[in-house]
Amino acid sequence: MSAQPATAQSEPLDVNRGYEATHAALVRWFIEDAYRITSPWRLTQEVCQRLVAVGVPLQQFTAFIYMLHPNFFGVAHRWERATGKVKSTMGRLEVLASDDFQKSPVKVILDGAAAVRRHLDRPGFVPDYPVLLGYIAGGATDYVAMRLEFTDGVSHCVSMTADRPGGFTTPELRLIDGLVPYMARLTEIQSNRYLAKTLLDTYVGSEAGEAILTGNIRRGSAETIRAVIWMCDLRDFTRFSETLPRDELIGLLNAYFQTVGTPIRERGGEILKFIGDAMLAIFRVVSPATLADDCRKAAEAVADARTRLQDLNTRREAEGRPALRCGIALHVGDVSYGNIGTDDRLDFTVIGPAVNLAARLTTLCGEIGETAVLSEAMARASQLHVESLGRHRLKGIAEPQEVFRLFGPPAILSNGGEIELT
Amino acid sequence: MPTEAIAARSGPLIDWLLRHSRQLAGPEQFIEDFAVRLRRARVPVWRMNLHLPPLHPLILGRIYQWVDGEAKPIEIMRDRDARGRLAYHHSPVGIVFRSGLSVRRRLAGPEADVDFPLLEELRDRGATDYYLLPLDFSLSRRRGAIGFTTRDADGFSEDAVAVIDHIMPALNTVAEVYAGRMMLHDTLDVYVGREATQRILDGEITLGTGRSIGAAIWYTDLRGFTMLSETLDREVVLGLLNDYFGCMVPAVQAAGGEILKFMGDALLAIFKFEQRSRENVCSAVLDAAVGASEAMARMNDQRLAQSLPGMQAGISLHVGDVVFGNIGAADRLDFTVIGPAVNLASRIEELCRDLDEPILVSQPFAALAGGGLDSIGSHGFKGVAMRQELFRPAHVRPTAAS
Repeated sequence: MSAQPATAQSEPLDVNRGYEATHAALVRWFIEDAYRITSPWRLTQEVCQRLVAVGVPLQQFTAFIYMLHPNFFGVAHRWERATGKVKSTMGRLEVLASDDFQKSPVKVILDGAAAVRRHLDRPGFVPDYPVLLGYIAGGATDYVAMRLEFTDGVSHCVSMTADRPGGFTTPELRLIDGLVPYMARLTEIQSNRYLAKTLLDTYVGSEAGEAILTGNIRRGSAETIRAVIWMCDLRDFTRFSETLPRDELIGLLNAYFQTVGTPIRERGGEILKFIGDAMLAIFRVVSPATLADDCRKAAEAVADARTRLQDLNTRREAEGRPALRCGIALHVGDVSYGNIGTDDRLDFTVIGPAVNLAARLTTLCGEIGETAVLSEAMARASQLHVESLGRHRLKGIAEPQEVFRLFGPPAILSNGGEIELT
Repeated sequence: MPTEAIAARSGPLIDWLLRHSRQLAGPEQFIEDFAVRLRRARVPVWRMNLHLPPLHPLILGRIYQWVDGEAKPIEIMRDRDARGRLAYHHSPVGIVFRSGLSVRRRLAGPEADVDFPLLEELRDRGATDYYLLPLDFSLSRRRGAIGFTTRDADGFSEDAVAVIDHIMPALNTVAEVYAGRMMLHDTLDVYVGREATQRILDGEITLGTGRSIGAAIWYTDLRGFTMLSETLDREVVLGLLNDYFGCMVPAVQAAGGEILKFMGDALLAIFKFEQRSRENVCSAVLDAAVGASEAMARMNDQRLAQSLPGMQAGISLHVGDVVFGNIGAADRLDFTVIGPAVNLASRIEELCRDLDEPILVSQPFAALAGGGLDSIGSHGFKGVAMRQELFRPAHVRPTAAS
């Protein structure tokens, strides 16, 4: 490796004229430099650029990587020489059942085949996979798919086309075959990290993943933040769960969480916890200057959730299913945000008196027959048009609390309005 | 650049490390196979340690150790406690972790420099040379390390050291795959729970996937927590929660329970009826609840001695079929249990305060748990059609501080 002649160094490497030197140089790049690349699309791009630079007639190259995700089964990073860019596409779970996927060479590889190769420009070639028609129309002469093997035993896939008449040469394919395992190793490292973040975001909370992975993992490591606290529950849930069949109950609960959760997430709120039929979320108050805006975002989410719930109920009633009624409480205050629990079983969540107050207000919602109530702090901070519902005693809270309802149709809510406090 | 000779000896090792993914399934097997291949490349290792950096609140280090002639590679944990920290602090690994530089020590001959207890121990076991190198990762700032020890009379030759140096980048990528996978398992175990983690990683990750299981249900919360957190300082409340969970969680885990959820001061856990009979599970769970209640009483004595506020908990125990699976909104999920039995458990727990009982048990649970329970009559619950007969343990010390 070290004894490369001086002439070869000054000339550009060419895989078809000097296989050994080209292979060695690319392996060295993988070992010494490529591990610094932290994203899969960048890795795909850099690998492709290097292959083209040593004379491989690569037209397009795609890395298909399976992933464990609630909505997607995998991701495809596709590089095209024409643009030099990589386009990353997440494949929804539905794609798995589609003809496009089921009748593709990628499926054959993911099922365990070592490689698929088709000489697209040979006379009399009959395309046996629908995807090849598109490649032929795009001027491809050769198609190759091969395994991208992880150490955990799962096979992923890379596929590529050439556009030189006659397709890839033997040294070119040997080079690619030799380099793909190196690519697999780096991809597995990136995938592990992505998976950890996805799963923590999914099961612990969308801001929790990154915080945990950067080392914020000890009990008691909590910060005090100001936030709008959203707590809601579903009326009659105990009765539903006594009377409805299991699948019906799960469907009901998931439809409900989806309906009230979406407006929160669309406005930058974070869902922290599901507790039976209840849900806890926060909208962070970034600074005192944004307080009113952050409060209004939460109020808009309430209005949106009500509308969505009405739509859901219209559908449910048409199906002969019971309507869902919810109670939402909004409060704003300081909470401790971080790791709570015991040493080896933690939760990344908020606690504090402000959270307790929100929980008590949710209960109050049901008792006084309101869909949504605001605490006094929330009513003041949001500067929205509100109406007092009087003072109420809440369990465990010394002072009776004045509570408010949002006043007027949702359209008014987004316009701010005047402070209406008695 | 390495010499031709070094490159020739390193080549097969690098090829194996980077190309043969399927042969590298996990760190235990890896370290053993790696040793064989190193020796084939004339690097005379006698002992190897692979240190991987976990992301875990209790575990400071995970070490995979292979020693020639010993049965199988072993996994050693270093806890974050004082002893674990000391072990790292006063050791070559401590130096490597802190500095990012490698440590080489001759343990025999004129150049011997045995400056750590670990090295003395290795020397006494016949080691002659020790070489420890940092593993630096691309996606994590946490560092690992790998140590090579030989008993060869002349120690590691300069060529052997050069081979090790030359294969390090390839070795790094293998170690980072393992470190990444470990981090994934550890963090999920801590935040989602062990059983849920396994099932999520096995692919149960979409909304609505779940199955019905029979289980004992444990629901507990602190009495008057809202009032306490209104009136006490934040630090005092956090300390109180930690003391309280410190009584409950170990009791649940020791009885084979899975902690599903913390909700402020409340905790939900299940004990599955799988390998064990329902009777055995319930009687163990009842013992655990009584044990937790007694631990609370002792904790209160300690807290009282430190002039800290006392605390009282209620625990309800029930059995039933629950759905264990994914609940939530598309990409924000919870892996938990739902079902009427869970609701009833939380309703029974609320009654602990009203009846001033530390532990209340449902009739189906009592029937399985065997003796030692007294009936306290039937009670009605909001949203639940049937009245329920409840039981209390015959002998349990009140949790309240006297």
